[in-house]
Amino acid sequence: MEPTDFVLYKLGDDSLGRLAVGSQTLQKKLGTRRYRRVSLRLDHALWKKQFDEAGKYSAQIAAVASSSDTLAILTSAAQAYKEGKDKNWTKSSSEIAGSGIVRAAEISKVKLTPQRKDIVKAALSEAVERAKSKHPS
Amino acid sequence: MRALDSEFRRFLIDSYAGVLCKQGLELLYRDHGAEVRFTDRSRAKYRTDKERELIESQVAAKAQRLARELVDELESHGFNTPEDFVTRKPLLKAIVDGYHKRLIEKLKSS
Repeated sequence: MEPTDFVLYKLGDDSLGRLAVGSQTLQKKLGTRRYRRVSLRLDHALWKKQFDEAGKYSAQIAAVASSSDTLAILTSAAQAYKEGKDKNWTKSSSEIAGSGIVRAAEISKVKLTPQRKDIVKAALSEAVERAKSKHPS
Repeated sequence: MRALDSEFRRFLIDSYAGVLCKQGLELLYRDHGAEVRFTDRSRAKYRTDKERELIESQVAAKAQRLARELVDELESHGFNTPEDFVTRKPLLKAIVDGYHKRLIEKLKSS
């Protein structure tokens, strides 16, 4: 498998043609100099094969980069869980995930940024899938 | 105090960690693509699938840890049911903001 295929396989087909978001947010929150320093540390950890360290930076960076959406992510997850439980996990995973996102926007007025919607929907669908596996119909 | 139902807790952690992992990988491959794909600066040799999977699994593990930290904090403030996320939105926002502030400080001081 070529590296590019690997990336697309890992990120899912929906990431085709869509740019990753977050670096600008991160730069704004950390300041350019500090952002560069964190970025260099991550590069350094990868070159040195300190994957534990690289993983830590990546996850922290992702959390800060998606901070503006966290409220919507958590509320959507809570609503997706409620939807799944109410319907006995019989609907499809993506339907439950989608309903959670819509419901959160309706009742809590929290909206995901369009760029992050696909990522959140995919993550919620996976969480629903795992919950469903514990509730065989 | 009522505790968070273990299934709901797992679901919240999985959902948030899933987002962090996907976002983290996307940023990693976009902003640090060469470092992820090649073994050294000369870019002469690709990393093996196994090595890249190791990187990915570390991102996933750290994302789980971060998500657990946030959910623990929510639980300690009495967020036990899906309804709490709607009715106690101001507190949820305050907790999330505080959590991000601490994370930014951690990154700044690293």
